[in-house]
Amino acid sequence: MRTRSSIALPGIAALTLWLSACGNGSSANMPISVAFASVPVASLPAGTTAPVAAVVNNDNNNAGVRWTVTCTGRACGSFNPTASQSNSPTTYTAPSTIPTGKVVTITATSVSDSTKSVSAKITITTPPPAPLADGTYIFHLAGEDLNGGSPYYVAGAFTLTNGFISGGEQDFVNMTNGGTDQLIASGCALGTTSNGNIQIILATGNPNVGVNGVETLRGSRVSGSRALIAEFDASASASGSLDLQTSKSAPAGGYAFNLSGLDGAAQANALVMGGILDITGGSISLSNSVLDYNDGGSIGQKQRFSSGAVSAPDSFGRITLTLTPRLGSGAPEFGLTGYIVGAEGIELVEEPSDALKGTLGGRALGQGSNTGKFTVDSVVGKTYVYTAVGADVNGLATFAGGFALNADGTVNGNIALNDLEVTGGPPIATGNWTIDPTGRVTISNVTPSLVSDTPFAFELYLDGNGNALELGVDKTQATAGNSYLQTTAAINAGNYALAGLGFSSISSNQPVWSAAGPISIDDAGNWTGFTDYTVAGSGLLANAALSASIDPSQGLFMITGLDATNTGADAWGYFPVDGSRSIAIEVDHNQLGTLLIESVTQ
Amino acid sequence: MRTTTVTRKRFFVPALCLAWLVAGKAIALGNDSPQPTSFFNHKGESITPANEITVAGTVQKMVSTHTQGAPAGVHILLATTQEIVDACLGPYLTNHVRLSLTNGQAVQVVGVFRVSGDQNYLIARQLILAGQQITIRNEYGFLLRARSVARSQSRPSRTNADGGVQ
Repeated sequence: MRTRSSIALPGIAALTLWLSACGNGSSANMPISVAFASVPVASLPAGTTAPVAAVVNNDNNNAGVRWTVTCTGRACGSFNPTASQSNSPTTYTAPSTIPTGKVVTITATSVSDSTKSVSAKITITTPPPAPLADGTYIFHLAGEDLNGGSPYYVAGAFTLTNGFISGGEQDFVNMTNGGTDQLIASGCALGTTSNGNIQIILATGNPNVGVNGVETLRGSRVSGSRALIAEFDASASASGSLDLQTSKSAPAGGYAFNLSGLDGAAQANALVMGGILDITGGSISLSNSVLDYNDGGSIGQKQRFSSGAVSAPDSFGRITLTLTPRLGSGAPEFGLTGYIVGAEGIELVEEPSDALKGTLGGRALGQGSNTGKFTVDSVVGKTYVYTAVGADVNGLATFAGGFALNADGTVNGNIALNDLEVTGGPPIATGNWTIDPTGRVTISNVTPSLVSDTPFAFELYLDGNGNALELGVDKTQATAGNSYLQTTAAINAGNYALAGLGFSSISSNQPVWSAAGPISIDDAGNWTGFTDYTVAGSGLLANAALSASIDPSQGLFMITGLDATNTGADAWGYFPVDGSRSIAIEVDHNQLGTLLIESVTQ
Repeated sequence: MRTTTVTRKRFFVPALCLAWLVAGKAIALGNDSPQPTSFFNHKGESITPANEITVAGTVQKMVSTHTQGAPAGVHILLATTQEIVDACLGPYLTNHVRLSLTNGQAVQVVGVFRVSGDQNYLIARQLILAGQQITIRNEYGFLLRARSVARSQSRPSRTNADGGVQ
């Protein structure tokens, strides 16, 4: 029946059009018929949905169809809406459990003539295992949305119950809007795309974010509790991560943090902020907390706070922080919303109505028992690698590299940057470092630099567990990023998740591109894989093929598939982290980019 | 016509052109940790704050495509009485300004000249268009992003006393 209906449809439609064109009204003499607009799916996993539509011919009342479903049993699924106009879709939701016999029959019946209908059988199948285990997940994204090409940051939480998103909330900020939204569970979904990426649909109900309030995220699983993700819809291009919440206990102890984005001026400057917050109860320790910032070349370092308040977590682990730097620090009060991943960290978004009025996002790393106990011995002889995004005096910029912290207080390693004019990654010629008990490492006098009389300066904020956050704090570059203790020079073969972010050269306004997906690396270092890839304002590309080769003699990945302006390979300098993770920075003149790959563990 | 007008501290400064230095391989950059053979390959000439000038001319052409090695963003070819100047206006011009940069439009560009990729570019800090001053970069050379009307209405702009750092 389904086959006949499908084949018959074009002929019926053509006949209807011909009759209508003749204007003879003879359709009143023709019997009503009903057919599917297209062949319904033959099978559907339990609990999932599929669109379906029917075409009614010769119905002068244009009354459409009613939808029903039958099966052996009581739970056969449902339609929403239960009636639809001719050729207008409805959504069939399969029952959450497989009915006896496994088959349901869906029927569209003419409203005008209930003797005319069309039916199809759908086999209800066992759903694939949920791509993520039940629990509450914390997600965050950084990128650009289409509100005038604004920097855009979002963080939030959702809860998975029996594989379904049962609730959640999020905060976002861009140059125009921001705020908190409760997720609408009925509009949210977790699934797997045909290419195998995780897809997360979040309905916020807020038309100022996503596509009419709906965000679509895609990404690749690192483990059952973590994924690297990117936004994959027409509203934004952004990347980030998704982590199972391990605790939503109120934060306590030291937290390294950094933030990046724009300040609140009418002519907004690139702004990065970072430091250490030592949280006790609902406030911060004024003596053990510290703030650094770089506001488009205006630097403030080792500033103190006059007050700081931290709210109790809500049911999703959402907190607010109200931080007031000391008078004379040059920084106003600013507010942050945080989503607690666990004792290990908090994802941060600036509160849009604070006094700063900036557009900032970032994260905080918990120091736990390391709080206040950092010494030279904590880091001497160790190397921290990092990638960062921001701006330098040439324009948008990406930075990466590694700082080897020598016992004599000097630094060596590499400093890589790309601002499309200047690109590359030479060894560090000069540099010095010091460390505070708070875990704040000040790296100064770093050359080579962009400007002969202005060496680079950085801050690293350590968590004491092999992670750190970076801040660029000199008059030539304002950057912020993630840093890691480097423990190996090896990149192992295996399966990885990838997330990338950068600035495309597809147009003169350098829109953000983002990508996330799985890759496999063979023993020779060759990559194969794909990403779901977007360039803000320029479209989406699902299942974009990705390949790469490795050139260890140059320390380069040659990657094809992450640049909308180049069908060939782009050159990326890479920095292994620990055998399961590597970071990289694009070091050619094609575009700007940074990426993270993480080994899939299960 | 060129006239030297404004001297600002810490505006544009030269990008370095450094030969690759062979140093200890404390950082693992790849399995064998050898270094890329080129870095900071920008052929920047020394630019001092005193080099900031004002160039007046008419727009001959607007270029919105990226040229490898050139400063990123919108460029205009500016016809002056002496030569054609390639002025880089950065990536954040508003649509209103872009649409106003029609061929033959008289403008003034305040900035500094810099060589990149063997070509001379005027890196704009300020554009003067129909009497309106459009600030493209701050005093340190960092790009600025203008908030739209909607933005300033929905999220009030920072002043030194209210909002923003510094």
